[in-house]
Amino acid sequence: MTSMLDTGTSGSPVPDGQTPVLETRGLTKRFGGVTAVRGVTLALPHAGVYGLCGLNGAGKSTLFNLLAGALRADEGTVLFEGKDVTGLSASKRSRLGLSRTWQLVHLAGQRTVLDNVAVACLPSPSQSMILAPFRTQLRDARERARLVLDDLGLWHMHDRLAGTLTLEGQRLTELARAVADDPKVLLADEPASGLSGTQRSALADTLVHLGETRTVMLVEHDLDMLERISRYLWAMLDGGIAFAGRPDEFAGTHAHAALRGIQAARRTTDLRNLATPADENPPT
Amino acid sequence: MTAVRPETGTGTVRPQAAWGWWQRLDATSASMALGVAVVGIVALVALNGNYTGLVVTTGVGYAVVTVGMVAQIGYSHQLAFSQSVFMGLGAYGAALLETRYNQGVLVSMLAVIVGAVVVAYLIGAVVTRAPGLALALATLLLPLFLYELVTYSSYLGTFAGISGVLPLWSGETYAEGMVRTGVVAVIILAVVVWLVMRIMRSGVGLQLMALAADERLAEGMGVNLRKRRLGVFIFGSVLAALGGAIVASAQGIVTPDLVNESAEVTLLIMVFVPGRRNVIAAIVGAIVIEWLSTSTEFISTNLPTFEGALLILVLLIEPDGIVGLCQRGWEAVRRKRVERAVAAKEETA
Amino acid sequence: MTKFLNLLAAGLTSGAIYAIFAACVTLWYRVSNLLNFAVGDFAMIGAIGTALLVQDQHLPFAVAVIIVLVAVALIGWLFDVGVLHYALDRSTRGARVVAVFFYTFGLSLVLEGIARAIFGTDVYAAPPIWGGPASQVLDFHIQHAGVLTIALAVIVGLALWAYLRFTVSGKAVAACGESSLGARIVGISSGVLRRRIFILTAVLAALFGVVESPVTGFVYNSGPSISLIGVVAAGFAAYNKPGRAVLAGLGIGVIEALLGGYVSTQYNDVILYAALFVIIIMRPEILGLGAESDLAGVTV
Repeated sequence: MTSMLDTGTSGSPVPDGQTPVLETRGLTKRFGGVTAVRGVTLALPHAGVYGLCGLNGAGKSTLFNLLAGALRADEGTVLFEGKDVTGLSASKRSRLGLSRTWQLVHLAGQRTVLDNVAVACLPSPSQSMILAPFRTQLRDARERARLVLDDLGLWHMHDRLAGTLTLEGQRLTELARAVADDPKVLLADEPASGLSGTQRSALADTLVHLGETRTVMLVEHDLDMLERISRYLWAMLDGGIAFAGRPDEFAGTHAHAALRGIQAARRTTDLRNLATPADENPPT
Repeated sequence: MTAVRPETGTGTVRPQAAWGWWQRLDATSASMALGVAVVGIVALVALNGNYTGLVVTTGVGYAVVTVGMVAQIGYSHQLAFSQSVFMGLGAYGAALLETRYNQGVLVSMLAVIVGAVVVAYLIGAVVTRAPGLALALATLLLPLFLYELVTYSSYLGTFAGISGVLPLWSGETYAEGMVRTGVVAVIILAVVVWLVMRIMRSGVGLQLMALAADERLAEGMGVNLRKRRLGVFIFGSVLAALGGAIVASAQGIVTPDLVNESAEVTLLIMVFVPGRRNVIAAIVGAIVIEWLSTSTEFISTNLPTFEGALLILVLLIEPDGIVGLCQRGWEAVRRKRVERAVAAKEETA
Repeated sequence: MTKFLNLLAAGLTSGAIYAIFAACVTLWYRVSNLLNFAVGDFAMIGAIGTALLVQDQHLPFAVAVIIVLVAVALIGWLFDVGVLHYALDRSTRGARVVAVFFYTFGLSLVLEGIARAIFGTDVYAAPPIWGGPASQVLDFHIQHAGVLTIALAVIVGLALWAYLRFTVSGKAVAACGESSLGARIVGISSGVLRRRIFILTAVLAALFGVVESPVTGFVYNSGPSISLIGVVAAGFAAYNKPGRAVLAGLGIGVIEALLGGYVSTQYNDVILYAALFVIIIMRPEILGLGAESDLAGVTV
């Protein structure tokens, strides 16, 4: 097999002279004998949508969690706005402005969407419980949440109970929560999984809109979406970056072929094809 | 659900009226508290210090505990089995202060509250560090611990307990004292109701519900897990102690039975069967079950059996108790009505 | 020295019942992810039922024991079929951690209530299997019932360990605990296994009640405190290894006896509970619940 390491000709997406908002250098993570992420180096500028793709097991989720702070790296560094945050926990990183979404979300089902977003908008989250009956911040928080929902075009569902939301509604609420405190970087963990085609394109529009004012790093299986909205993308294989470049440079690379091939195989409806032995020459 | 376009919305929030003192009081919480107070006082005055009045007052004491459990277990999902222990602390504490140390009611009540805060802080600081199951198991040991301690300690009166606990507000006759104690108890309950409602409707309450739903998510949104867990534990425990002191005052005596091994389960039944997330349900549950446990011979001896069966039924059918069942029922009725309306519209179209 | 040995013997005797409860709780937890707080009540039924059948109905001892064991098995079967089946086998809606405790809390209450109605509030002891005064071995006394209990505890503990380790069925039990969906996929019917183990648990507990009751004595509400110790002892084995659970149970029994002998007869239990509390809080990892366990984060 020829080398999978095809790189784009455009180099890093970060313009020269600019400090990347989020950057990793030689990031490595091992689980027992398995190296899930090996020496990953990438950099993100201050705005735009960026993609991270790869097959299951390639290391995307691990890299995602390393960036978010949910996992601690074995080697390498993570830099946020030039500062070393490798040792910081996820909640500390989120306070600095690095937010993430979760795939499996448990919202407070008995409260409205507005309130579920308002939790993320509380002016002083450490307010003592004793003061709470006498000085609530909920009014201000709801106002801020209203602005967030408005901006994302979600205001129409603000008074629906979170427990009655569809999957799309939950995902969008989760997205609203993640951007509620105006993070500089939003890490989105497969927000499109489980959504239909129309829902995906709506989500894509939302992400593009968010990408106008901050950096959005999108981990996704949906290559169409990634190629459509990403300014730059990384494809992982076996823990390393197999491709880094613009989406238009992605087509034709081996990494692209591998990922597309799997997608095509997934879409096949002819069961007989699945039963026959695999081709010698994988489709290009 | 229709596709969402990221356009600028036209949503508006109803402009808030200026926040005068009434708004600060929060109409919903205040009216609920007021309702509880009015109903309770009227009932107690009508009962005029008879035996049912005593039972109701005791039930009100239990209600203070269960309302705290609604906040602690129902909303914040903190499964701690320590409320009966704190009830015992409050009851025995008040009794000791009033009989051995000759303190008045006001002093002993305040001392119970302060003492409960301290003890809850000490225990809670340690206990809330542990993961959920460990917390639950460890707090299960506490009632056993306290019961053994109390039955063997002569200082605490062993099996006979301590008698001579003062009424909350004494009167010229026993009946009058009973009514007055009951009225004070109801007022305390009303204040507690207001507190709990207010907290759950505030930003902190929202944080607690988010924490209950998903801890990692809550932490990512800036919720200080340790602080909230500890706060909830202290809150529930202090209310339990206060309730225990009220019960002791109503009964005039505190015995080890207040903290025996079924005391905690009784409390859980009072909360879970009526509806663990509903303050009024918890109050009704406390009073009804307390009344049942002192009614006919047959019912009171077999009450644990019924309680056990009810607990299992509630878990099987509807974790949110009777209230939850009713809500499901109304939801179903509402949905049918909507469906019928839609079908009718389609027919005419 | 004599005193120490006597205490040791007494401790092992009462520890034996904790041990067997701990083993039962562990085994059943492996297969169902629930804690059985009703073990003590099954023991109580075994003890008091046998006592009454022999004393009042004048049935031969063996017959009485068999009747009681069958009755307990029936109760266990009914509970699983009537309650647990609906709770666990049909859907996963509803509380998880609450389920861990509350279903068997409820069962315990019901059993106690019925026991009180039928048996009254007296203390009972089943007739001893191996009668006679306490033997004197070397310098210390040991009750015959105590010897039996300890021996039975060790045998059962070993048997359960071997069952889990060496038999196919035992491995299936362990598999169910790990992942009931995965177990079902490979053809293990976790519902059936759970039922069998529950019945086995109930019968074993009842048997131990019969054997141990000549030494202690059972009243209708003896169950909960020994159940709780059993559950805690099982916790020290991370709800995973019956063998270690047996050791933990024996250990707690011995500590309880030693505390009673050397520190205070009245407050030995108080100290014991306090000590257990401290251990669980300080070292919750003993319970084998890392952050990954889905019971670590409470979802009520």
